[in-house]
Amino acid sequence: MGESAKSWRQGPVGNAVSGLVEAGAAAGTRAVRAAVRVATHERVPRRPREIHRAVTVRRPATEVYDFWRDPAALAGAVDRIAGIEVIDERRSRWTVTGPGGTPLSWEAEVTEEVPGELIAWRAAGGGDGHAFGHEGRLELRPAPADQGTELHVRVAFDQPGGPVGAAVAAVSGEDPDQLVRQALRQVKQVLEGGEVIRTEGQPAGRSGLGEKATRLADHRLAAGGRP
Amino acid sequence: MKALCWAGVNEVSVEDVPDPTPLNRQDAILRVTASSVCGSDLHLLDGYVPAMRRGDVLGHEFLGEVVETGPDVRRLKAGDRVVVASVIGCGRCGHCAAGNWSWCDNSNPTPVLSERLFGHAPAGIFGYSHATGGFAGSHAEYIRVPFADYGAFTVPEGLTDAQAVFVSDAVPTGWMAADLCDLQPGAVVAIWGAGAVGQMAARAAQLLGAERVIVIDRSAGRLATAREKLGVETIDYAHEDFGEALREHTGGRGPDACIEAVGMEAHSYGPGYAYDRIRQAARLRTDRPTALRQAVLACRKGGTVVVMGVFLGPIDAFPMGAVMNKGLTLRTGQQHGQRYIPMLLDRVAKGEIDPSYLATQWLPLERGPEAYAMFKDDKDGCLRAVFTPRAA
Repeated sequence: MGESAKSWRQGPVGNAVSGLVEAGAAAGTRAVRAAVRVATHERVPRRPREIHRAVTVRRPATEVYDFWRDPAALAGAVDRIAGIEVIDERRSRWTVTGPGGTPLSWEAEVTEEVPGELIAWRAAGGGDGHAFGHEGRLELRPAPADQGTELHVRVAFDQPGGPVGAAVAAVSGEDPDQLVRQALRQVKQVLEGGEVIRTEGQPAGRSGLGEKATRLADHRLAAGGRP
Repeated sequence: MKALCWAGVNEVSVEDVPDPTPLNRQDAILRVTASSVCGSDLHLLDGYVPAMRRGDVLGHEFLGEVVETGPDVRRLKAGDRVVVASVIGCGRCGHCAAGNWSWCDNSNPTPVLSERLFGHAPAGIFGYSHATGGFAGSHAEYIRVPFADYGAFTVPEGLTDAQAVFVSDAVPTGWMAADLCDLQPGAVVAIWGAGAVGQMAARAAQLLGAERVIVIDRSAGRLATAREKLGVETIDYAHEDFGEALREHTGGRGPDACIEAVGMEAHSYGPGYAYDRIRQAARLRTDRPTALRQAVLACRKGGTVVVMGVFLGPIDAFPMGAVMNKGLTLRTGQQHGQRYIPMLLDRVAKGEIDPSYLATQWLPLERGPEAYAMFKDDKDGCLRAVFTPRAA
């Protein structure tokens, strides 16, 4: 997986940098590309990493659970899930897009399941995109005083390039942590408010290039979150 | 359509932009009949708010007629004349459900910058930078309103545009300021800022039982308007040491509640102000908390200080010792408009509140640059300039 991990980090870096500093940062782009090459080179060791992100949704746990287990609902809510293909009762194939359009994919197998409470899975590479092997877990807990349900997501994987690789991935918008945060936020938006609010396509008094830079900047401000 | 856009620091321009279309199922499209400038726009114009982008359509305080609704809009229909809360709320997250609409979890599509600055992101706001969602604003012929069933309110028959437009923001913001004071019988309320929000806070304080209301500003014209329209006491800080004056006016106790309706670009005189001004000009700080400091020092022991002026960054030289030793309560927030607007429309219809005098100029969008210059410099008695992009 080393080779493919390297390339999925390299592809979108140019876009990501232009999103940060807009146009005219060719030197910066070269520097980041070089950093990616160093950070994700096979000689740099991969390090185990675990992400824990949580959000509170004002809906009952059973409803949240059913939503998460409905591939059409989940893929419909989360922008970056391009598709969830059900193979059988326990296995499914996931495709997730990066900000630069480079897809990630994995085949997930459910390893533990308690309806309304938790679902755990193990994912190995497969499909059309670059493989993202990981172990994941969603736990649902009642929030205090009828505030709804807490969703706790844990994703464990081997980070190519260790902490440096993670930092570079965060800059490029390819960090799995950002994906998890945005996914939780969007699931909450759909479960509570019925839809994810969009701003692409609204009026603005700028050129096509200015609008493109704004969309990239907004994309940055939409993904990720609390440090 | 025509729209008034941010074009850079202290620059606005009228641009031809595409008409808005519904982008979400709960959207409505409105023909904008009235859209007011707001003091908080000045922070955007002056370049103190990060995440403004050239070409962003300004404006968040508006009134209009529904021309189109998305498939999931149930309450509104084409032809409805509505006033819209400046802050966008989904209506169904924990905060909206508790009536705290400006803390909506789901209406800000670009929350990351705010999460880094504040720890959590506030709700989306129309025309108010990409830190609060990057929504196109209302200084345009048409506007798209997300969660329209929750944020747009039918205007009772007989109300003029001038009476209704400020129920979008200035009236509920002022009401919330007075509401947060938790006024007890005999309360004396001091309000910093005789702009639209300060004046509406003064009226709300009267209606909520304040015995005396004192408004502080340096604009003799605005203070005269406040005296004439609301019958409040005023202090002109350009001519009076108002710290002393406030203490003596209140029998040495100090006001029971102090409302700060000025925000991060306060003006004053003296070394404290010079210090703030220099740090802000050098972009070492975004915020200039002069009025806030004064409010904290003036407030009586055990009193309440309510901050309705907009702040964004850290402030320094904040008199925390005064807050602690005097046991002050500090309350604040962007307005929870949706909680108050139906009640406020009712009060306007009954004549208890008449915000119409706030509209001192009615102008076409084309005169936007001039309107903001006039408003900022308090020229021609400008309390609020209101645009009429598509007047009925």
